[in-house]
Amino acid sequence: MKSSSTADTAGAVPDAPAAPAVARLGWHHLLLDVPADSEVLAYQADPRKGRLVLGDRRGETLQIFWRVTHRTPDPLRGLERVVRALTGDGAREPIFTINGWHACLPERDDLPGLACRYEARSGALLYAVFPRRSHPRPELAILESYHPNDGEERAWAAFGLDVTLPAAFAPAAVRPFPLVQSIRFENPRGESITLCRRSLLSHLPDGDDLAVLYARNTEHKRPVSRTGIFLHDTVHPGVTLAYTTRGKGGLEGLIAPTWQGRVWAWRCPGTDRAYWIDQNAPEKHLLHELQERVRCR
Amino acid sequence: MKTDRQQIVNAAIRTAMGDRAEDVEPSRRMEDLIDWQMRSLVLRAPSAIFSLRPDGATVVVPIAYRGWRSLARCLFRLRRERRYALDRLSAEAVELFDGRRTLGEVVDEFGARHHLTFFEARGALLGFLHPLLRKGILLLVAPREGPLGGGAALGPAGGEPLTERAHRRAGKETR
Repeated sequence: MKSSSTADTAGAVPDAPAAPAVARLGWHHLLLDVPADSEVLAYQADPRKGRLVLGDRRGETLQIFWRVTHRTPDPLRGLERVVRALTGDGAREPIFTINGWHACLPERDDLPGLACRYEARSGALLYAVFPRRSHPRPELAILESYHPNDGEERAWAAFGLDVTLPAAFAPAAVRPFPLVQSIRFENPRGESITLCRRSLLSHLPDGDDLAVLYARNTEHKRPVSRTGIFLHDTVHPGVTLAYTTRGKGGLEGLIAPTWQGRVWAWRCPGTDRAYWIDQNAPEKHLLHELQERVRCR
Repeated sequence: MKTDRQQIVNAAIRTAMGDRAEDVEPSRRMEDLIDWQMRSLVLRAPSAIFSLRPDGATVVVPIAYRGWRSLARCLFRLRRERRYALDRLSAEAVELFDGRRTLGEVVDEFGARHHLTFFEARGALLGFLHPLLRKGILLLVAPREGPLGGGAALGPAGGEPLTERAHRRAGKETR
């Protein structure tokens, strides 16, 4: 028995990490633990009003709506109204409270699960819809794992990327492609932080050299210099890179101050992926040890 | 039916959040499409000849000339086949499409080999499946029941070689 199990795992990559059961989902106003096989299928980046759709291979699993309101709403009454609209006046479904959410999770499989809450600090009214009611039901665990994401430091975890950044930074551009995912965050001053993940690293012609990989996959085409090496999470080997940017051109290019670009790029051999985080800002505004804010999945 | 219910849920929530009724957008359901895709069968075209190499594969696809073109082929000694070189990853995917496994099973296998999630593996495979179908290297047999119909082979009809014109069109589209 022992020898057969050894034989079964002989072909596997030795340092491949075990797949976690849950993954963090962080977006505007919310931070949740969702099943690890769920992925973001559709998103909106407007903090005032939007929707996030999650799904797995069988279809949609969760939809979250948010809207920032100026008047304090009554989430319970709103949820009762939605439930009444769905079930009709005859059927009554119980509404209970869990971790600050008013939730209606009917036993019937033909009704979606619904939950609603109001975050007084950010003024966000949140609705969660669980369209598919199947066993085992993860709704309670998802709602229990909720944390508001409106503090000084905010978590952004979606599309396989996971980073914690100061509140001033918000997603400005998202590229959720199958083998390369990136999110560019910007603050009101125009300073940017870009987090990118590249898969199938061993099959790329330039996958061995992180500096070349970064230079080929970045939007700006500026000379990049290597400045050092580091270990991410004390295990993942990486390099630090630097570049400078100025104004776009013409007079602006002559008088614009120089901004520093700093890049931390590292590889995760167990998952055959590479990550890099790129910060472009004036030197006095650069965040130190930015790579430590990134979690690898 | 599911779509109707989802639309009702979205409409009810948006109304509860203070939106006007006309702002409600219909929700697109992907379950049916993904399920239909994943139940499809992909196999190598019988007329294509594969030879695997350590760094990839070579595929030779015959060209069919019909009508006056067959005469032109004899007169001008036009080529009878097209040769494609596949990189290591494409060759690995083509090897997985053995005609016994559905697309869903191949996606799972590919994802497990390369530590990719389902959607990553599906996106990567579908990305190079399309040009290989257009070039007549692979065949896709869709299930009979599904959102787009099916029951027919997509790619070279019945595994017959593509015409020279179809080859040229496929080359232009995927260039």
